[in-house]
Amino acid sequence: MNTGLLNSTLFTTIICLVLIFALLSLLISTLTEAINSYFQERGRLLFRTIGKLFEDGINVNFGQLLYNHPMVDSLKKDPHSLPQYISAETFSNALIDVVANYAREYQFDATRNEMAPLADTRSAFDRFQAGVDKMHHTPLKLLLLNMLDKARQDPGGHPFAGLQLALEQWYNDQMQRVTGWYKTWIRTRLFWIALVVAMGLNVDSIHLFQTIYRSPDLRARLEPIAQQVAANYGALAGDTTLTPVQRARKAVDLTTFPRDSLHTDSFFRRINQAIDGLQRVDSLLKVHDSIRQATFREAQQQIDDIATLGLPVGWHRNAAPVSWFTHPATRETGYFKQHLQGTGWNIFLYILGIFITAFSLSAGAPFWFDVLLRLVNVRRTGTKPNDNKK
Amino acid sequence: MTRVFTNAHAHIFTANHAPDFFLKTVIPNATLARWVDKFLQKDGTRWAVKGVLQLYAAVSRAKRPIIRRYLEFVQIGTSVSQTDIFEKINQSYAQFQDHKIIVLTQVLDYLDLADTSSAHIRIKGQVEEVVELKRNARYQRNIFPFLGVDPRQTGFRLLEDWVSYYIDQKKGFYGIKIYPAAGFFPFDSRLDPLWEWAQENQAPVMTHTTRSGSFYLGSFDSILNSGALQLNDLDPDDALEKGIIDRVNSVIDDKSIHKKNELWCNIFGYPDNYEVVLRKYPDLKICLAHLGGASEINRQVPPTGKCDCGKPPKYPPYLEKNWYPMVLDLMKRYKNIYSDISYTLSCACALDTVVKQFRQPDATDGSGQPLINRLMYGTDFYLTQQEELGDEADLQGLFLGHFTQKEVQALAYDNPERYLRSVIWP
Repeated sequence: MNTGLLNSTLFTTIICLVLIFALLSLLISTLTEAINSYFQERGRLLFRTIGKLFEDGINVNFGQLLYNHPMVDSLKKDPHSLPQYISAETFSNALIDVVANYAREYQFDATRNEMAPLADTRSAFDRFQAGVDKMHHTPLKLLLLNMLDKARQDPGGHPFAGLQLALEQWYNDQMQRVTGWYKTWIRTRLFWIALVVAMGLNVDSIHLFQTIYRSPDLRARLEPIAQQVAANYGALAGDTTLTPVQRARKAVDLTTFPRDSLHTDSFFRRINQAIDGLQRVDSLLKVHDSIRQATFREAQQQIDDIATLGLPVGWHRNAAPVSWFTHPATRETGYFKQHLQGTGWNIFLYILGIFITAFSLSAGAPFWFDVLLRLVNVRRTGTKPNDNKK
Repeated sequence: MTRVFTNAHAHIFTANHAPDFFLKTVIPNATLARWVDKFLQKDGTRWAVKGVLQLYAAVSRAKRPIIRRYLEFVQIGTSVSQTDIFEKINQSYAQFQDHKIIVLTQVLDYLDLADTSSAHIRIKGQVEEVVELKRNARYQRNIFPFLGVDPRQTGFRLLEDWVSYYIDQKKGFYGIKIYPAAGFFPFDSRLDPLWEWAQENQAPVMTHTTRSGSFYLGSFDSILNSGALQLNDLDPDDALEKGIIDRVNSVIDDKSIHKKNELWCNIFGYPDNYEVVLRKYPDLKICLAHLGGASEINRQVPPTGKCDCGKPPKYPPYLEKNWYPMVLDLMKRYKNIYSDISYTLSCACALDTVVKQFRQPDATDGSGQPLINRLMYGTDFYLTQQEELGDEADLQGLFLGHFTQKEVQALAYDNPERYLRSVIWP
């Protein structure tokens, strides 16, 4: 291993940059989760997917009716919300009821003065069959009929259990596809949120790289944090109860950030004040949601963490692009002086830098934490014991 | 004399029964429309987006009615289940000893033929949900559902597999609901077997008779190309039918209104369209709901005092003929034509005019029967929510405050009882 490269300023700069991407992508994960939870994206996607399973244009949409079944209806948080998750078991049981009920006959019961289902001695399996038989012929009907046939031939002699299993299998297969769609879709959303964050926090990756590369103080501040975060993240690898994002979040929580510079940057202070404002609006509107409150707190904490790093980000008079309008043209040389000028090349680099940030952050927090861990490990394994003393 | 107070006109369908492309017609950019939709459906951000949309409505006059309609949807229609919405209106009538609510299911699947696909066919789910509601012992004495029908429904027999299947004691539906402004004429020949059946069984029909409300959302060309405007069955030598043909041709020729759906869609709902049907089926029991609408009533009899119901829009000459007197004329000439004061009653000045007019000695039909015996109370819940006096309690208050006890007995008790009675539900 080339230890010269591993101890080079370039390698350290890359580690520091990856740390920043890791922390920012964690913030983006938090924001994405908050937005998805606010708009109940999972619930909506689930509703649409289940609806689509039964959309043949002619028959009653059993998927739509499923949401009125007490087992599913009770999963709603309020009249305007949809269940975020329906287990395969709940799906199959509720669906069997819905289709079987479709086949029930009703009549007016004069003694009770209300409509009542006629006594029906058929089994739930047979009533389900009758419900399917009532459907107009479409590929969907054929699918359900085939499931019934296969269930009837269940070697164990339990057709009802066979039917449940077939429906669960069908649902799980669809849900796997949904998970795939959701991941693709979430990647697009991550990019847009990352772009908004990159612009909002004014994170120009090219300028960040240049600054870290040219600033030993900043590298000295960032590198120990990177090592600590990577170590914590690595140590949590065995904890299978954590999702990759939770693991990243916990690794950051366990890290000690140099709080000496906390809130010295008025830009970050203002962002956290804005989040405070959002929380106040939330409580004014009496929209109490403990998960959302926790998300607000988490986002504030993550912004605090980023604020302590003393990064060249945020909107300031002395930072591009504001400086393009406030700083007079100068012939002075040197990267930092030149960067403040609104030249065509600088504008191009700035836009490119913002887009690089957005694209990088949309890779997601687990990706950047894994990269960070690998880079830190590579340095650790490739460095001779006495290298650190130099 | 019945003791059951009846609201003859209410809706409980949800935003899930409306097509996905509904908001796209207000905001052409699909992504932006999706986001506005999401924000509108959340308590926390609804107020802000509503404000922006209302501001947009103030600037864009043409979009105003559709924005208003969409906001009405959002107010209550974003509830996930029809049960929740019915529960809300049902509670509003709890103070009456006994009450009935006529709930109108509605076919929303063909509001834009260019976008309609099997993925948008949601009426069956909407109807089956109401079947379950009607069977629920908690609601069955209060809910009186009507079946949404559209001649463009395909894949099954409209009479045998839809109308006579659901309008039945076992399924619990009482009558037919049509909504011509969605893009069809009531005299569409595909509906003939239904009208014949409805007349034979005295099954009530409810239709929408105002110029406002939802209307076809797609392009004029999509309707033209669908053949909906070919009036081959009408007789150009007959004065009434020639009038209808001329009106439709004027709309086809006047390209300046082809982007104003709220105007050209009027051709579908014109009250004289129903006379073509009534000539064939004179005993058909139809409620020409809303009496033509508050704006038409105010256009016919301009209010003398202060009236906050907004100015009636300007119509091209071939669409100018007022709907209110046309509805009254049909009520006078056909013994089974009903109307209701739903939505219209949210405009107090129009309601004043209606009350005065129906008390006139000449407000009778050919056999001398007072027309008030065929007028019904209804509110158009929940589509009235955007109106200043649009809450169910306000509307009840307006109704009870404007009519005498005897008139209330007619409008809210006896007339709906007669209207609902049929061979199927004697």
